[in-house]
Amino acid sequence: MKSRFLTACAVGALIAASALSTVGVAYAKDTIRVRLAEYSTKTGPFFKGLAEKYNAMQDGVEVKVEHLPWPEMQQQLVTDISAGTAPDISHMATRWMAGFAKDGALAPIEGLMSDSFKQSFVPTFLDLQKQDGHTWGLPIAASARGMFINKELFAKAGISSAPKTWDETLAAAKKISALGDQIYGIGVQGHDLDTEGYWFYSLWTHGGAIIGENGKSGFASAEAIAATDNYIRLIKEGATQPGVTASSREDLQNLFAAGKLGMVLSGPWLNKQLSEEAPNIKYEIAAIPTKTTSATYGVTDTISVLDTSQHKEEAIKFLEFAFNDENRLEFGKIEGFVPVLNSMAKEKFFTDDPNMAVFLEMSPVARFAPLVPHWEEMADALKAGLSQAYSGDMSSQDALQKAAAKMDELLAE
Amino acid sequence: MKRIGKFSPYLLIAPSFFLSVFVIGYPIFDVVRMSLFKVNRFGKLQKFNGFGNFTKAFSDDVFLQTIGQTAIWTVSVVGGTVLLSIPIAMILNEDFYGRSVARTIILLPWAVSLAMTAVVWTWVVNGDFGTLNMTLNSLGLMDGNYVWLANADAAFTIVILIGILVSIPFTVTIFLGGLTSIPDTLYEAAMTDGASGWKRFRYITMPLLKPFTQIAVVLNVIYVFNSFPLIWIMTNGGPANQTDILITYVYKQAFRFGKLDKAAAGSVVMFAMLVIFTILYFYITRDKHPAAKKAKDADDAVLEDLNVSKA
Repeated sequence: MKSRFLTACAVGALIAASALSTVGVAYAKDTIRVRLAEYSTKTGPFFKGLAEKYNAMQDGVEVKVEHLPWPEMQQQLVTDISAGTAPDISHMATRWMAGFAKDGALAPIEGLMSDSFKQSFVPTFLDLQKQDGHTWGLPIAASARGMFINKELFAKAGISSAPKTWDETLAAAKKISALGDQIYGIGVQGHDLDTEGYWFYSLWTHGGAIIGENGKSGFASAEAIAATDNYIRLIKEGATQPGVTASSREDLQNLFAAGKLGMVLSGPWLNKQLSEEAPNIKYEIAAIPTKTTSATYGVTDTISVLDTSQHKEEAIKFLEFAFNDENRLEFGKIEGFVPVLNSMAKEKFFTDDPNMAVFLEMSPVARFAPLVPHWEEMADALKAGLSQAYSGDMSSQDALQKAAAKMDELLAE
Repeated sequence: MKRIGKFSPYLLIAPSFFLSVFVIGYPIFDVVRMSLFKVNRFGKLQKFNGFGNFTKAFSDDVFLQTIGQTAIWTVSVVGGTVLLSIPIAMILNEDFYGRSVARTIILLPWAVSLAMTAVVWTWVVNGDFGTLNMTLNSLGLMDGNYVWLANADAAFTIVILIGILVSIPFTVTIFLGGLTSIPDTLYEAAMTDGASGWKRFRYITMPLLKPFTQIAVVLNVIYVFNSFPLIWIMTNGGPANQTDILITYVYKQAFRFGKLDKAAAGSVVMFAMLVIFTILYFYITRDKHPAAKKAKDADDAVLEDLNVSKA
């Protein structure tokens, strides 16, 4: 009995020793942990491939890629930063960046980037990552938005060209809704992620702004009320899908993919969904309809180096590799975003594809959500207000004033 | 020697006792501490803030509105569950052909994770593709599609009904246990005395189920009050925060808006509400008639003397 115990101990020790030694080899190089959120099922494998290539290219560091779904990203990152287990490099929505930077979680990278690397970016997109004189990350993805139009439904309703103004949009949408058979003219979003973004299209094209010239909330300006009433008019005249306040971005996209929606405002990723799920839908993409001003919603996502990273220089070197022309073209082909590098804007893949060209053309008039620390909470208050205005529970003026008051209170914090 | 004997049991349980106190107590302590400080989004305490976080929470309209909604949610789900579970348990306690199948069906929702239930029901009530609209349309009860979750009242009613559905299995189990413990002899005696079915229910079943009802109510209140996945997945608190309950409010504050201090204050308020409720509830439902209690004890003693097993 005793000898068996000793043997067991010896075997255990051997296994432990061998395990230790393999671990020892693996950790001889410094590890750089990179965390990414998934745009599609291909995002993770793409970046894992990049890391493999990079690891084979040099001996200094070992890059490890972790990927998880977008909805879990924010909470996971916050939890890891609090626990001191944050990765070296992390992907995030640009609108979270301001708060993270203010709380000292991110490393300023302007000093670590070479001049040529800095100059390779489209300035609007890189400038968006700057605050208080520091650059807090790189724009990993950018998108502009356009209006997707179902050509078959347009033909059936006898409309020949894409509407250019909101009035034309209303007229077209009413004709399409009149086709019946649970077909609706235009989608209006009133629920979940990015509800506020759907409203910005109307806000900006009516000449409004999120933050007014006096530095206060522009949610309740005359333009903002007109922008909201624009959507309420669509809803009241039966030109939209029913149940606006329960329709998320995905719901609208699914309706469009099912051929039940004449128009929807969305971004380049919808091209991907349509080519995979609904290859038979004939559609084109037009500019966002206007009232007074031409505009679209631009959004970027950011990839940042965390302040706790012990390998900031090496991290930037990896990012420089990830942002070279070859890798970015590949990324563009996989995910279909607007290019963020100057060199890519002339790339045939983007300019020749009519479904991508509109987004490139609209980029110059793109506006962005403000980078203020409590943006998520302001957007939430706006969302609640919009929901009450769309459902008719409150007048648009009262609902927006409530949201604006909340925003001013948060701006003052 | 005798003194050591007196203390040794306490000495022996001391390690596990302190471990439990630590494991249970530390998180509570931590939340209470956070609720009294300004905290950044990564949980780092910054400066003492007294009751600042609480005043901030109570001056937030959404928080106050959420308290009301939490009360409606908890009372409706727990009330509905208990009212439905007693008859279900009584039926399942009868001996009938296929009882074990019926029991399995009733307990089945328990085996499915709440998150899955919520996702499935979200699809059922979906306005465009949902099976609820389809069924109502084909039965001729409705014409066209209704988007159930777009309207706050409809959405809240639906989550409450699903809340009841998922709470039933656990509650039925409690009541089944209770019914099994009532000796058949009591019913036989009552029947010999000519007591009607209602009277047997009112004067035998109800009083003897009382301790089980108490437990069912208290445990359900605690679970339902803190229940997160259903509402989070089905409505996310919307439209316009009108289906938010305290737990979803606190989650949004903490993980969406990075306000851990306000979220901690909200959590402390929730904890206090539950503690107060539990104490009050047990106080109100305590045995008010010492005589009745004495009589019941005497009954028990008689049963014991006769060597009649209660189970």
